[in-house]
Amino acid sequence: MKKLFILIVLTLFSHNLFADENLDKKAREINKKIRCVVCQSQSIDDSDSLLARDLRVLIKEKLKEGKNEKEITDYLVERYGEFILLKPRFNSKTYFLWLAPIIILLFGLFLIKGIFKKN
Amino acid sequence: MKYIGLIITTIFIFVCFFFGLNKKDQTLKSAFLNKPIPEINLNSLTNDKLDQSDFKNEILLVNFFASWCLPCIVEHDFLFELKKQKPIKIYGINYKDDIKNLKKWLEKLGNPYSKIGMDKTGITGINWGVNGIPESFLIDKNGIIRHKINGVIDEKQIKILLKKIESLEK
Repeated sequence: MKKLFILIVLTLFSHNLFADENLDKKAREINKKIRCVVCQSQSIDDSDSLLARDLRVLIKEKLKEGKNEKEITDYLVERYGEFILLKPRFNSKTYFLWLAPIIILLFGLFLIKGIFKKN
Repeated sequence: MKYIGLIITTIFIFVCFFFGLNKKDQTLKSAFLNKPIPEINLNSLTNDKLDQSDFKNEILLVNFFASWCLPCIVEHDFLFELKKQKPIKIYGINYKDDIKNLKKWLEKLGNPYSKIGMDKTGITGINWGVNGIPESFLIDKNGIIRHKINGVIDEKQIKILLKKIESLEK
């Protein structure tokens, strides 16, 4: 009976431990995608600023509440704008940003092709 | 005609850099500009509430500050100056501060605020999209954010604020 009790306690404890670990892992994944608006070139995962610390706590709290990554990033974008995302979303405001490298590459290829043809 | 592609590319890059680097206002705009004020529900310093119901029928300024913030000391005199030139309500949001230090600070420097909300956790700051203090928001009679000031309110900012307030009063 005693052994069974210990087994149950250990099972429950390890379950909580793994749940916390998974939550931490998920929170860190999100933290790495969020820009620190104080330091700007760092993610909140790297930054030591007061706001970055608050945002890390907030993200973990939101995950505990059962919010998913999209809901959390939407909440932050609503407050800080798209700038808070280190990787901008693909939308009407960022079409040029995302497509410019492809356009420039194609333009370059045509240019090179033209030069080779002439020669 | 031989170098037309190269010339177009050079001009394009030059134009991008020229306009990008010459942008006068490099500060972050508030995502709430011209939108209603975000959620606010704080205990005030005088043990009542500072919430949405306090933002009705008048133009007011919301100022995020703390006693540990050095630029806030510089700003403090300018808040009195603003009130002298235009007697509007200023709500202070005390950001992650110690209440004893805040009380001492207000005793020493004076209190320009009509009400002070206590944001102990910083959540209200995040809800309002604050990225550093001091930071201030000008709110119109309908509770819409019309202007945001990142950093200290100084003489130059007072002039801008007075113009904005004047246009909101029309």
